[in-house]
Amino acid sequence: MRASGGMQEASPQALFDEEFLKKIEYLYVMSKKVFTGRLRADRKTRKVAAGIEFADYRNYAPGDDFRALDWRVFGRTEKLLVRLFEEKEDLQIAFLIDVSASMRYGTGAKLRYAQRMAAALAYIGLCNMDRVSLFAYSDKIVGRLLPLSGRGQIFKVFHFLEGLESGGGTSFEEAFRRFSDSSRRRGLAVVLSDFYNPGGFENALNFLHYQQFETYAVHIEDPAERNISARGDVSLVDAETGEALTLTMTPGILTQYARAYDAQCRQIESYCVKRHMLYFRTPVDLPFDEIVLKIFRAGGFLK
Amino acid sequence: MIWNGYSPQILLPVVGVIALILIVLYLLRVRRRTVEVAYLGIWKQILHTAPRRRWTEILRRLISFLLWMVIVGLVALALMDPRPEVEDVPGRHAVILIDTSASMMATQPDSTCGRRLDCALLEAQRLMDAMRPGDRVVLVEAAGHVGSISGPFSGDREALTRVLGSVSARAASDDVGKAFELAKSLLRERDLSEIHLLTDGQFAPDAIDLDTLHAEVAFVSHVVGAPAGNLSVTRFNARRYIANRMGFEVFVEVHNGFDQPVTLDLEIWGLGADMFQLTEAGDKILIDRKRLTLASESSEVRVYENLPLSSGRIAARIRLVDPADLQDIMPEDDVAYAYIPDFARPRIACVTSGNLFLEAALLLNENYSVRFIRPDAPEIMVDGQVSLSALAGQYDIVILDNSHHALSSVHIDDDWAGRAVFINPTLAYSPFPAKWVRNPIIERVNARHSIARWLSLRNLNISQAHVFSGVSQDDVVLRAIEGALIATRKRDHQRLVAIGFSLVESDLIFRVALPVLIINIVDWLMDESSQPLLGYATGEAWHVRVNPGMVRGNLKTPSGRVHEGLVAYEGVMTAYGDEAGFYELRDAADLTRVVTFAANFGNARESDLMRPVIRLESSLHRASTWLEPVPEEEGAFLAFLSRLPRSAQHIWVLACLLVALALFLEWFTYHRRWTV
Repeated sequence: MRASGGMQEASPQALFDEEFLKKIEYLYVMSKKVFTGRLRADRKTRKVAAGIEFADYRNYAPGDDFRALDWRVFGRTEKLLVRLFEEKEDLQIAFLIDVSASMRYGTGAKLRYAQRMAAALAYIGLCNMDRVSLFAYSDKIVGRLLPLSGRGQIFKVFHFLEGLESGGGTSFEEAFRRFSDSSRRRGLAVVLSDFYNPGGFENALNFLHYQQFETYAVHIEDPAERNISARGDVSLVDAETGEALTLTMTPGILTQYARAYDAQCRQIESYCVKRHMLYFRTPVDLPFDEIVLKIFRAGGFLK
Repeated sequence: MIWNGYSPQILLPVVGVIALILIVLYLLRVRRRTVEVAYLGIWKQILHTAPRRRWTEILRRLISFLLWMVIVGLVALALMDPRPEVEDVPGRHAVILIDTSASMMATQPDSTCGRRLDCALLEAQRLMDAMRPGDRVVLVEAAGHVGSISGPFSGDREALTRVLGSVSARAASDDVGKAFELAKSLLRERDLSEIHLLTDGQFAPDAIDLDTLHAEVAFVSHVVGAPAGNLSVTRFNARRYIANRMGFEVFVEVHNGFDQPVTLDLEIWGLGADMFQLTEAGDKILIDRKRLTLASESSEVRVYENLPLSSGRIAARIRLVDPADLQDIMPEDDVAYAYIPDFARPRIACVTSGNLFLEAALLLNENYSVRFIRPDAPEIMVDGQVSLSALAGQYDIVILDNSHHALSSVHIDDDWAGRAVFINPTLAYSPFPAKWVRNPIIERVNARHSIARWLSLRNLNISQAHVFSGVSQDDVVLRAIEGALIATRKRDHQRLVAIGFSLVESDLIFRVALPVLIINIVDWLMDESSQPLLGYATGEAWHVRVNPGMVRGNLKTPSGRVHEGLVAYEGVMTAYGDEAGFYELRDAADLTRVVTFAANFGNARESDLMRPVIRLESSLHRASTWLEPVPEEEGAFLAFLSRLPRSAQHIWVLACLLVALALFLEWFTYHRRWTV
């Protein structure tokens, strides 16, 4: 693989095959065109005694570095003012990937979709010199990849994602608390999940919000979950907990289920919108590059 | 109540096992299937609002299961076949032999039923009306192709009546003996069995031995018709003259079957190419009419020479003139047919350096079209060699006479198509392996070979000859001690005659045998003969000679029906017909190639209605229970059964079908998840 990020020589894994690499390369090029001049690696922060470009003054406070005092101003005005400089700072992006048992429901399309989407977004972040970290969780953090930067690190991301195995229940609160504790810097937190949590999703998202993470909720859904084809007397078994529920599937019951499912999706979206979190509903039959380019751009994910 | 089918002791354990299997299958069917869902929370939400399963749904499943069990019970009941005891009458078996031979076409003047066959069918209907529940009948045709015409034993009276409606008389001989053998075979190991023969008694006296038959099986004969006189054309054919193939003679034999002298008109008709039988309408011409007087029960033969026809279809018909009060009750045998195919003079090419004896024998026969060609004539040379194929394309027969040097390049292989005569061929071009001998001694003349007919060749003197080897016995016409002197070869498209000696080196040239030998050779090569022309007897299998190239053919009968798919083997096609008249056999590959032939009543015995083997007054009804009256207590029940609609008697079949349909619907809708 070349340093420039040419992906045609990339790993032969099935999940991230040649076709996938071509797509994310394309996504990167497209993101460059769309967001020229607004890259987050150029995010400007004001820090004392750092940087090169003068930005402003502020009053001296005990403990400030004496070297930052502007003695000329003191000579003219006898006020101790500290010079502030603008500093360019990279962005911290954390991808929180749900690997609970519900993510492998059916053919496991949801987990694969989450893996690919995380890989694509991570690649774009790495190329923009952001610091990208990944966390896999179910009812706890089951894997993490420490912050990386630079395009060359993408294969570590691939390797991490390839190694993910789904299983276990879902506990957003516990997982997000661990994530928050282990992240010293705040930044973007991209939650990739089907948001099936017995305890609800609200508290967990609220927690991230109050921990000053800019939260993005990517709701991955499999259309097969909504359009159940089973009829007759069935025993429904929860993919995560193994809990069973006997039921007679009739057209009426199925209609009710579809309504309840849609209501659940709307509830998640409504909750996110109210708290200024960006929410994306992504069916797995929709090409992920389309999601990245169209939906994410429309939602302001890449700004 | 009686069980007419399987006994309950046998059936009930089987039904029990089936019911058990059904129960297991039912339990498997209603077993809840496990369906994995990603998240059960949503289902729990809706379960609070979902209606409880209604008792009707539970009942519906139960009904489905009960329906299965009822079906098993019904099928078991149907197999056990319960009947009221009044119906417990032992079933009888009868084979009804119906004589459909030509004599059954005769009408009965003193009868109301018309033809003899119609009377026989009425009698058959009476037998079937006497059928009781449990009785089984087979109808067998006792003429032509003997066989069952109603399938296996059947108790379905209506179906048997329908079969009777389709029975018709055939212009074929009866075969009562074979029909009886079939009947005995059908009734083997069956109780209460009878054979009923419906006939006019006109069959071969030695066909059956009635006394022996009675000892073996209950036999009842139902004779229709009485002895009667009849006029018939018993023979009619034509043949070409050997000396004048353009002409032919017609041979007619008529028979007076009355017990008194009669006067009749014998007519010869020429029919158009589109007429298959002599009818009042159609293109025909009366060629000759003669009035004959025949003594009682006598025959007379007439030969017509030089009729004013060259070829075509001719028919002979007789009409009773006197006494006027006599009636010919069987007009079908008053007409006979003959077909005279077109004759074309064979074109003969004789390649010879000069042979006066051979030339004379060929030129003096007006039936041949002969051309003499010198061996070195340019017209037969291809690339400097004699081309036998070129000659075979232009002439019917090629004669290669004694032209050693010029013909040395001629080669005959197995694929060569044509007719040829080799006279004194050299070793180089002989069709058979040959060797040269001096003064051969005649050992044998194959008198069965048509080339040797009318000839005496045993004392033939030959100075030197080539003798052939590798020829089968049947193909040798004249054999010397050393080998064959005259040999033939016959293949699909090839006919060869090889004469191993030069005519001028034998004393054959001084004998009248030479022109006769030439005629015989040409006839054999052209497949001509002086035998009567093609004519076949109805009711028999015919072996019709067809063009060697014909593989499949269609036979058109006098009544216009076409039988397709007849297969030819080695130029012979086997066909069958039971109508008198003209038949056309067309090549399926080329419908313009037609072989026409005539078929006539084949058995004079069928026309002799005066001496039946079984007479009406001697009809045998001994040992028959078939026509016995029904006991009174059974009569009421049988009357009740006869009033039932036909479908009611098959209630089990209908019930099973109905239930099977319901089951299928239930199964289908369940598996489509419409009914759950």
